[in-house]
Amino acid sequence: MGPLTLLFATLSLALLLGVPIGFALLAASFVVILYEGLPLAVVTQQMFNGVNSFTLLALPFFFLAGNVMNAGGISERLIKLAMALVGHLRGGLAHVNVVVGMFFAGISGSSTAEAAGIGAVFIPAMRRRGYSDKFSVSLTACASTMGVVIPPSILMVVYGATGGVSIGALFIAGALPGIAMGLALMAQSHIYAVRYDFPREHPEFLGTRAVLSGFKASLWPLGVPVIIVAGMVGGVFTPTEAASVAAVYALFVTVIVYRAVDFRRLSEIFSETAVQFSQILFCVAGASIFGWILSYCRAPDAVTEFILTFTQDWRVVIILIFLLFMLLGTFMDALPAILIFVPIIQPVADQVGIHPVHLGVVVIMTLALGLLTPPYGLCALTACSVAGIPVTRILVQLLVMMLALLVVVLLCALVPAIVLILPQLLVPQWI
Amino acid sequence: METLRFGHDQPLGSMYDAGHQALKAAVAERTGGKLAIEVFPAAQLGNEVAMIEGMRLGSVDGAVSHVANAATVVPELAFFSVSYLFQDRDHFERVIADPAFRAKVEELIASKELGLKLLGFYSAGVRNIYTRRGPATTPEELAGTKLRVMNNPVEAKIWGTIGAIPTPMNFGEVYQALQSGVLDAAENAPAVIESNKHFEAAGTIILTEHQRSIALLLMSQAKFDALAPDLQEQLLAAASDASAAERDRDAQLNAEAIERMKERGAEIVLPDKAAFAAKVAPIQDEVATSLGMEGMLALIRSHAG
Amino acid sequence: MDRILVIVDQAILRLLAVLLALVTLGIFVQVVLRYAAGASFLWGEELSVFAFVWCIFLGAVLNVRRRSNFAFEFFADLLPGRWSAVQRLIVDAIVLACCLVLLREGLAFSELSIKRLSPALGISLFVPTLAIPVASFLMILAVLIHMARNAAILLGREG
Ligand code: NA
Ligand code: NA
Repeated sequence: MGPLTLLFATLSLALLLGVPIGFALLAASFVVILYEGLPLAVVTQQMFNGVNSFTLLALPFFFLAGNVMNAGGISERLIKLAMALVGHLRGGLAHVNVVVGMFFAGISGSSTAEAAGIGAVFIPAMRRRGYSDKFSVSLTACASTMGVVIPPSILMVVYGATGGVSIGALFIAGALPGIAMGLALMAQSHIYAVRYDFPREHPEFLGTRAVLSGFKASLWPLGVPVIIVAGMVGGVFTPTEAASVAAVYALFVTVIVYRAVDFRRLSEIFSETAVQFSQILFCVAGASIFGWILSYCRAPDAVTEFILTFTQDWRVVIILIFLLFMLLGTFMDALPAILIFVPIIQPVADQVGIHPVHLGVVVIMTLALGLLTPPYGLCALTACSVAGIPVTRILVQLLVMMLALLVVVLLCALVPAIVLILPQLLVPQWI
Repeated sequence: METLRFGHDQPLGSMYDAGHQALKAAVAERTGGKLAIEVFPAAQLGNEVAMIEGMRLGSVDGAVSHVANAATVVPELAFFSVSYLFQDRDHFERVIADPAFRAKVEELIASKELGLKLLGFYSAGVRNIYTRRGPATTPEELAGTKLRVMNNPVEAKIWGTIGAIPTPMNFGEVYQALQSGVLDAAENAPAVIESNKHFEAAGTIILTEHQRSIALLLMSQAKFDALAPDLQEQLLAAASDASAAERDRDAQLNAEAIERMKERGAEIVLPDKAAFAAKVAPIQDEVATSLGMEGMLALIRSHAG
Repeated sequence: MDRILVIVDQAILRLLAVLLALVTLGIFVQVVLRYAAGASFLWGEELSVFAFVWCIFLGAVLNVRRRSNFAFEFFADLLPGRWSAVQRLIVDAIVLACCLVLLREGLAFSELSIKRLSPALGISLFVPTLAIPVASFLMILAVLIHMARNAAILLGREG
């Protein structure tokens, strides 16, 4: 048995047994390390380096902001505004979830942070309005994947740096496919709404006065996206800084303006937020050593060789790359998948004439789908953890809902114009 | 046949990759295939600091590390982050060719008892300033520029002296910060400015050539000691050839990068390098004294043209 | 015994709150100082990242205590009661083995990092890397308690 077979066999066995994902990744790595006669210390080294990262800091901040805002009853205020806007549509709250998801994606660079932020607000609200957890958690998870496709996107920055692709072009190229993902989810929500007769929140549109009143109630919370957008566009903050300022602003609004939580409750929120994000980041730590073993065993080279002997047609190659990243996204974090595989996949794509920006957006969209697929689907896991339900309960619903996104990804893969038209029009010099 | 795993953290086709590939070929030829080098590009085995740890732990056999990263375990190496130590490439090559220089660096590494063996000196580009605020040819014109520095007190001090506002920032956020104006400028080697597309956001490249970066080709001492004496000798000779090839390739890649960025609209500015160097000269002595590198500074200056 | 466990859990929770406050402050103060004082604040990022690393591993301890680490429990959920105790024992044994290795290798890695100083704060990397062995030690205790309980269930039903 080769080390790679051993690695995946051990991982699968551990996962099927129900070993927590972070530990399953560790256990599989241990086995291969012993088999290859490597020093075990490489495990702690990689785990530490995997999370000793500035980029990942945005995650706790968005968790914190979401939890603090929720404790301040801010979700109710936002919902009030949303109700006034589209509550009269069938399944109005589902549509609002997706639209707010698109809006959040425009300010957040990370899908997991978005799943946490939006989930903390919408999942309890949708639960109270009688939507099933299965539906609202799946929808939130799917909507949150727009976070890494619609700019700004941490993954795109990493991708551009790794693959030598224009980050500006990637950002602009991600906008259209990201919006298409949102529209696909809304179309699907509409089908569900008709089929299961989801509630209209009120029989007809409430009028502009209700909208204005909803807006007034949400004025403070709406400051969060304003801070982030204006801060980043205006050159005041970097994305991670903006995330920290948003968290502090959420604290200010909840503690000082609304006086909704006291010190004791605040301390609880901080503690529980840390426990919550460590669920995800412990998996990231495990994925770091696992990814290291993959490259040590030369998995990347084997894959590239396989693809090039198989075909020279760009359509087949991009579908194969799609399948590869689908597989990778199923088992590992998007970040190491990009760091390890992009430099090796890119020459293959170059050789068959795939534009690097097109490839980049397709890879990131595919990895965004990977954020949903268990066992290692951080957006699905995050949304589930916010709702407090096991991921197995939403699995079927989630996979069905993913189909809408899958169609968009495949369309973008096979019709490069969807991806390339905006950058070609706006920033032709970058691509 | 024994195989050694050598890593680097730059893309395929980069200067480090060229160096490692040259090492692979030279080792195969010199040892008649008794020793093989397997190259792991693009940080597959981790970033430079992680690979240094890896060599100490035994999970990586060899790697290249920029002196700034090697300074995490050999603090004296931070000295090489000081600007304008080398006048030009010839000066740089004369220093590297001096056996006394190599002996000093080896001695520093050995003094820390890290289990690391020095094989050779790679080059990691010549760093230049690039800005979104338009041309500047003297330090005075850079006054008040928010300049990205690495999280490193020596560099913060140098740029502060030059008159810029040193702003530490994670590399991954630099592009967006330049685009939005959180940063006015940054500094790096042309190949890095090009491959990360930073010139899109900050299109004026000022060829300050303030730092010629040394990168150390290192190996696990234990692995080296375990090799037969003739293989050790052949490996060292191969490393010497590969390092020279890497430094040539680096110079070539950086010149090409500047040309390509120029073609794509970047403005290339030739500044008054002497004015910058004069500002920095006192800091060279200051930093050398604080790190106990006075001898090294004297050695480098003795090779100046 | 249970009282001691509650006290330990509470202590970790308090510590997590303080650490997360530091994570937030490090970056926030960096921004404020840059604008208010025009000053470069070299150590905010480092403070945040180090506190963040401790948060992650201490938080993971509580997730082991609560059995709330992400897991794929589809097949495990199909098992009937008694087999479920067996399954939990096996899972805990695997987690225990992982934690024992992490404890030993974590200490080795921390020791290796003692002489490495962080560039801005100048503190030894022993400080952040120690999070792994400390957390694995606490996880070992947590897992042993789980295993004792599940073994008791199993033996109780069999006897
Ligand atoms: Na985004
Ligand atoms: Na996945």
